[in-house]
Amino acid sequence: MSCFRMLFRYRRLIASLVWLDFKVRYAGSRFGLLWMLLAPALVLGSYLLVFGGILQVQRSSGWTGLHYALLVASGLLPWIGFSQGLAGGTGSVLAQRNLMKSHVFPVELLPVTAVCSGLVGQLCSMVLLLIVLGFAGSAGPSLLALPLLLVLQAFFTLSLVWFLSCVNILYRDLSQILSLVTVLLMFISPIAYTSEMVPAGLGPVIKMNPLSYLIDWYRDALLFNRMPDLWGMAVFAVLTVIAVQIAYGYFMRLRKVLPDFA
Amino acid sequence: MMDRLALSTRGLSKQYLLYRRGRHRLLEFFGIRLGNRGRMVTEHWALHDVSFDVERGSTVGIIGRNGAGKSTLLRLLAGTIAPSAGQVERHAPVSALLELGTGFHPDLTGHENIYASGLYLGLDKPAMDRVYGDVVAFAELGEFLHQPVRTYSTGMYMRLAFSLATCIPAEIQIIDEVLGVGDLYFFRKCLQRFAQLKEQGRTTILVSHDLGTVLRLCSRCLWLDRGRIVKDGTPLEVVTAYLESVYEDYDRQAWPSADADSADSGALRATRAVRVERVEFLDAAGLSCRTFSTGDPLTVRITYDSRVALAHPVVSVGIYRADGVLVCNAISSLDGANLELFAGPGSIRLLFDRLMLGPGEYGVAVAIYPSLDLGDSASPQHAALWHRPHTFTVSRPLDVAVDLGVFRHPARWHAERGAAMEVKT
Repeated sequence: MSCFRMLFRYRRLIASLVWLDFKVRYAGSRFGLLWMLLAPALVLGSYLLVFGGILQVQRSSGWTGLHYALLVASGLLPWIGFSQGLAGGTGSVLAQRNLMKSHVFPVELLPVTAVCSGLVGQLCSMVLLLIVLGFAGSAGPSLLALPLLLVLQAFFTLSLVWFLSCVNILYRDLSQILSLVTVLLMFISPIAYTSEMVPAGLGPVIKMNPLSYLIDWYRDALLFNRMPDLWGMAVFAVLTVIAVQIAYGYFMRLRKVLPDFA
Repeated sequence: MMDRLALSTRGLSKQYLLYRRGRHRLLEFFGIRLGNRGRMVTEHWALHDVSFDVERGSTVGIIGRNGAGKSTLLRLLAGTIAPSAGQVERHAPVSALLELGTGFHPDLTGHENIYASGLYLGLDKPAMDRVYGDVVAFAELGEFLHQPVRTYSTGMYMRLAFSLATCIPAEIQIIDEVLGVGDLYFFRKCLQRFAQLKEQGRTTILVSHDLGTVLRLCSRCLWLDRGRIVKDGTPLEVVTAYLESVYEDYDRQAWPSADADSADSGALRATRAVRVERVEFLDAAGLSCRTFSTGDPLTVRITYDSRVALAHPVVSVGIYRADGVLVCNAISSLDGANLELFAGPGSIRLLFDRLMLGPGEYGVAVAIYPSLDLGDSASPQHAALWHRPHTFTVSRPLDVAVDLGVFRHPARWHAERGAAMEVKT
């Protein structure tokens, strides 16, 4: 069965699991669901403090303070959604290994749930960003590309976590390595800067990072009010579909033996 | 034919690979086969070639010692792990309670966890709404229903888990050893629940170390040992056979063997002239038995094989308590018996007309001496020692509930009228 049909079949279950995930995550915490907005806001604040306040990145490009804040926000929110999905998804199967051993449950949905949770959080904070953008007067028809970008990001993340969550069962060092890689990935993604600001010599570093394309497109759609590179998106989509099918196939091939190793 | 069966297995086997090194495991995980596999992998068969059918509406108990493969079997039946060989055919939906409260989120309330578990069991909200009332009624959580599960006692946790597992409308229930956790009230409730399920024609497969429960609930019993079915039949016959084997192993382990004794004292040494083949305990009907009541007749039958003829042998049967105290020692010459041992196989019987031992577990050691001087405390040379003492159990007579002590001394009673006569000194 292709992973798309599987996802469609379980769409209700996935929705319920995502809802459950939020409930579990914020159960007993004082601010509860408010953290979905609070956490990105705090990260954004520290970014602005370091890159805007101390390093004054916006000076060299002639941005105003507000504009730079929106620029960082439009790159940061997809990043947060992605990195949450990546970390949660990779650990998801191991975290629920008892479930796997004692219930007949479609375990392949656990990474999906983590990715969706990340996206839902991202979407909530993005709605807030859109409101601000509306007031700043930079919202336009290019926002129509946004749903497409979210879908691309979802499958891109999913292809990674279906693979990594399996490997994580056997190779427990992975989560340690991954947290380091994530930090590196964060700095080589155009969050506090734009791809155009990168010196020509370091261009390949950015070009090799698939996330930089996604973030650039998000920024085009959200901030610059220009249609993202459609050809680039088409290529990205084709590659993502192939990757997600391979990752799903790998997960399902190992699915039978996973409980023995967990 | 198929309608009759709830579940069947054919040649079901589960193998676990124990890797010598983590990286070998990792390589195989990525689909890379190792060259010399035998050197890096040890195969462990948790379950080996298990085939059986379970009829609809039956209650099957699975017993066996730790590590026999019971939980592995249940997991295979439930389908949470995949068999290495063979297959399981389920002819009806299965609900399994394999571990205490897996899928419970400690920070969510009982109410929330009921719905969360529903998701893991594949039930959507409307389906859960239908069983919700039943689950809550059976779990009896009271006001704790809306408290986080982390605040629950083990018993409450257990009740919720058990309640969930048995309220889900599945035709086959698979339940691992979980009954021991609750208190007596809960235990009785569970028994009642099982009876209800049985009435509804639902099939139950359960693992229990409480043999009483198995005898009481099950219509059939499987005994698993080292991954194989040793015996399959009515609970009574399987439980009896299982107990017998456990006793035997226990005897070998827990009771110091006479051989070890002799090695310690140095003086005692068994010659190989006479070999004790078997020691059995016989009841009044002459049948081999391991449980007696105080007051019952007991016959100890010693089967031997001798290479020599002994004209005046002395046989002794020592009865030991579990703490090593020699309770009594029957010595043939002291009892005035004149036995004669011929070359070849034979048997000796020691008859206790009325067993005077109090309730408890006893071990027996047998020794055969060519001759024995009772006046000499130095140990003589043995002809044979029974070096694997058997145990038997003495229980209170059925109609006596009071404690009789460790020994029921034969006694006579008299009553006289008037003041007791003083003994003149």
